[in-house]
Parts: sequence; structure tokens; C-alpha cells
Amino acid sequence: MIEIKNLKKSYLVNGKNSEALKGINLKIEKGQVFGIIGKSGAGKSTLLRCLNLLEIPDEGQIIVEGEDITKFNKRELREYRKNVSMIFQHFNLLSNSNVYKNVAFPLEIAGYKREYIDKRVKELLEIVGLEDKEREYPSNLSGGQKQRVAIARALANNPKILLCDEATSALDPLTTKQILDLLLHLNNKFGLTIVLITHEMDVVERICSHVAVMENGLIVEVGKKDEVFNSPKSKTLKQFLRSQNEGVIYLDLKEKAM
Amino acid sequence: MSEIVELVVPSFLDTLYMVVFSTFFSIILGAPLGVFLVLTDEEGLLKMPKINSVIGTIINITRSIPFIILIIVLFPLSRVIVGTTIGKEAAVVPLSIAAAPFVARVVESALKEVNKGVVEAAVSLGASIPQIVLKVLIKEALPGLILGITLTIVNIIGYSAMAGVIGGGGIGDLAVRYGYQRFRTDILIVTVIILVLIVEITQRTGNYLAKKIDRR
Repeated sequence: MIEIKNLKKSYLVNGKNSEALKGINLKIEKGQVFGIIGKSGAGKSTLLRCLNLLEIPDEGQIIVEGEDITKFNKRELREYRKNVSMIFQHFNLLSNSNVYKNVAFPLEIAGYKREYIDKRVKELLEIVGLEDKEREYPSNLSGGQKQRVAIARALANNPKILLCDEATSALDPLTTKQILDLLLHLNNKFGLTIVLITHEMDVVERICSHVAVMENGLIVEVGKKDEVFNSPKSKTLKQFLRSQNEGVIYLDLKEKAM
Repeated sequence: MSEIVELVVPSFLDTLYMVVFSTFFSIILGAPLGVFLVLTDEEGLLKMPKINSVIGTIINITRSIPFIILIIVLFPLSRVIVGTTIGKEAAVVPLSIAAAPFVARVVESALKEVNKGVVEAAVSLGASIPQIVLKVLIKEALPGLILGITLTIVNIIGYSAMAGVIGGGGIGDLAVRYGYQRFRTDILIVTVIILVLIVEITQRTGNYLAKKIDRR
């Protein structure tokens, strides 16, 4: 479904060229929940943002359903973006619009009629479990509720792919679990392909079917989650797994203490 | 007393005329410039740094010309647009042009306050630039825009007092002609009180509206 070939991207930082992506090759199939993990600065965010061309790659191809998206003109790109939605760490909701208007936004810009928008918004709010919050403004919502609104907004145009940019990193563990359950539900029910980046191992553990590990702008390990996690090869993954185990031990101790 | 009323009421209406129309036209001229400045900025959606800096410079130059000079410079333009260089109609031309660059800066700074992430989300949802301007930037920045427009109106009230120079009429003109040149201290006091009241009411209304629509 998504095929990335030799993707390169560099930035000019203080007059110096800094390579964020040094030639990424990756295949993501339909229906997968694909996790990209790595330390900060590894290039995972740049990679994800290339998938809807929020970042324009310098070199390489991104082929989505047979079409190279890097060749799209502006209009084709806008149409493509309606099929590939994104949710963010800080939700990025319209603060002066209520929940209803936020979810209606992508439908309004796509030019749908008011009756359809109304019906669709109600449907979406039901999917994310916020039917009773239609008239609330984002400032009155909890983090988890805000992310639910963002998810409803992202789903409005029936995208085939959902990109999650550290979508649970600003949420507490319980809310994280609920949001992940929702994403998994969307994956199961609608066959939504999900690509997520995170530095939280729990997120990968809980919902990813496949995983790629990034180090210094390159993918160092990739495959089915269980296979990759059972025989970690890269330094990053070994460290991540170790710190996760320490986390488990820590939680155990805390539970025993209580 | 009735003399004061007879003098003040038409002057007040002239001031109102100048302020309302000048505000309207300065927004028409200045707001698109402000939007353009934001879009062409280095971090904007249209990144055109050269054009951005040219427009920025023109705005700065216009803003640094003293209003009284601007009125004289714009005499020919006033004649072309309203057919005369005196009267409240003629005053609207330099007032609008003097306030337009101010509006552009006010709009620019209000729109730059909008969370970049929200704009990015709109881009990621396939919004076009006009859609982003209307449905994201302006809507999100509305409280700031209202405060900025309020500031503009207060400035125009001040400028309109100077428009008396070209026979523009208005409260400021009355203050100069009667209060100062004819030593009518009573009229001077009344005009100053009225100007203070207009500014106060404008500012309070602006603050109230901005606060009311701010949901952040």
C-alpha cells in the first residue's frame, strides 16, 4: 500500500547541512498497524511527515496505491491528503470552534452539503464516544477527549491511512490505553492502515502489528513486531526493551508497596 | 447651552462619519496586506521573502510619514476619488490610507499568534490556502483581530481630530476653531469630554467583544 524508496531529506541547521533521512526503504501493507520507533532526532517524525508531504523529501519516491505522491501537483496533493489523515501529539484543534465545528471542518472544506455534514459528524462523534460533547469547546475537554475529537476529525473523509505523530505522548497511561484501544478498534472495524511514531514502547507493544526501528536517519530493523522484539539487533531497540523491563519491575514494586 | 449643542452635534456626526468610513476602507486596504504578509513570511504557507520584505518596507515608510504631511501629499488623490480636497468626504481618503498600513501590521501580528500546529492540521486535512485563511487563521485570531481593529478606530479618532486642517470638520476641528482660536473654553472642555467618551466606549466595546468570543 505504501512503498518508500531511497527517501532522503536534509535540513539546513545553522548553515550546516543535517541529514534527517539518509535513504529510507520501507513497505507498509494495507491493514497494518505500523509502528516506527527511535530516539528523538532519529528522523521518525520527518519520515512520518513525508508521508503526507508536510515535509518535502529531497530524493526518493513514496508510492501510495501505485502513485508516486512526490510527483503530485497542488490539487492532487490536496485530494491525496483527504485520504491520508494525521493526528498530533498536541491535538491541534481549532480553539475557537466547538467539537462539532472541529469535526465538520474537513467536510466543509471538501464541499459537502450541510445535511450530509450533520449526519457524518454525529456518526463520527458516536464512533469516538463524544456524542454529548458536540457544543463544548476544546478548552473544556480533557486531553483524551481532545484526541478523540482529533481522531473524529481525521476520520471524517474516510481516509485509508491514519498517521499518528506521537499521538499519545501527551496523555496519561490510562487515557493512552483508551486512545490505543480506539485506534485498534478503527483498524479492526474499518481496515484502517495506521502508521504511528512513538518513543513509548507500551504503545508499540499494545497495538502494532509491525515495527521499524530508526537510528540516525536510517531504518535498522523492520518486521513483524513479535519477531523483531524477540530478537532485537539494534542498540536502540535493546535499550528500549531494557528500559521497558525496568519500567515493569518498577511498576511491580509500586503495586507491591500498595 | 443651545449654542453648544448646535455646534457639537453636527461636529460629532462629522467625526462619526470620518471614523466609520475610514475604519471600513482602512480594513479593506490593510487586512489583505496583513494576510499577505503572514502568508509570504519565511515560515508562511507561500514563502516569498523578497516580496514580503518589499511590502514590509513600503508599510514602514507609509507609517513613518506624519499624518499632516500625508494629508497634503494625498490632496490630488482625494480630488480624484471624491472630487474635492476639503470636507469630511475628502478627509476619509488620507485617513484610510494612513490607517491601512497600521491595520496591515495589526492583522499580521494577530494572525501570527495562531498556533502553527492548527494550521498544519488544516494543511494535512487537504485545506487550500484561501480555506486556511478564512476558516483557520481569521477564525482563530478573531479576538486579537477585534482588539487590533479597536486600536485602529482609536487611532483614527485621534487622526480625525487633525483632519480639521483641511476643513474636514469633526470634533477636533470644533475644538481648534472655537475652543482655541475664539477662546471658548466651555466648548473646548465639551469637545475633549466627547472625544474621551468616544475613545472609552470604543475601547470597552472592543475589549468586551474580544473577551466574549475568545474560547481559548
